[in-house]
Amino acid sequence: MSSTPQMEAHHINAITSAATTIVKQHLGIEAAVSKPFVSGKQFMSSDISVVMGVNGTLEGQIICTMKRETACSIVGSMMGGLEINELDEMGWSAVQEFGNWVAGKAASELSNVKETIDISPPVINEGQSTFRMEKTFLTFPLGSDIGEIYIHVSVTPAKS
Amino acid sequence: MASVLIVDDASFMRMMIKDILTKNDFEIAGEASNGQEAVDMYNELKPDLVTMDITMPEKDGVVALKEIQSNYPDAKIIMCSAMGQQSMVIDAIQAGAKDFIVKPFQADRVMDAINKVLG
Repeated sequence: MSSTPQMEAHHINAITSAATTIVKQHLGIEAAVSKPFVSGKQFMSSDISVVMGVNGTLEGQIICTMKRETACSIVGSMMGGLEINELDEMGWSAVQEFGNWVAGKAASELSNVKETIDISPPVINEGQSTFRMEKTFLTFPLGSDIGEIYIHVSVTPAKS
Repeated sequence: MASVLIVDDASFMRMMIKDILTKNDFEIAGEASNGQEAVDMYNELKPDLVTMDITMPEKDGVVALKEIQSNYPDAKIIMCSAMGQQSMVIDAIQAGAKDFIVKPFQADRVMDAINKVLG
């Protein structure tokens, strides 16, 4: 009998809702999640990935990936509406902070469904890369005016 | 003109807070990128106010707050937390933090907290 923990819809919803809220409410960018798909145990990222580890009553990974132009637009919005064409040291710091905002909101949303998690400080990966994991990733495309942000989620209840 | 020590490991967040403060005629006493730097710079600069991030390398903001408060009980420190860090915020308030702001924040909220604490 298999005891492999499975992803649960209300956990996934909390995480995607967090990312959507940050993009819409805090960056002022219209965005909506379209139909999710199963990426399986590996996927190819877009240009820039924000990688976050989840620990606590849930464990796994959240990886947000996007094109470079989308990341520049996010950074520009975070800086109050500047036009950003290149990511300098301050820009990369802003991308990491975007990850922190999503992570913080996700932790907050998950606490509403009685889950207590810590999310590790985001690691930024530059360049298209293949991410592999033992568990399955679900991918949620977050469509917006500044391009798509793919939210790859693999989060399951922690083994006790 | 009140002086403020800005403490955050993210250069982007330091820039954001510095921008809000300078637009509102505050003096930036200094910038620290971890809790130990914050303690050392507080000893040296004695700013009127500190904005203190919670999650930082080397020494986190709550530990730094407690060290500063033990040396300077009148220190005015506002915590900057991420969402989902309620327990650490409560710990910080019990240890003497005057207020807290939650990231991502709006300039108005930052100024409300600062003016209330300095008022």
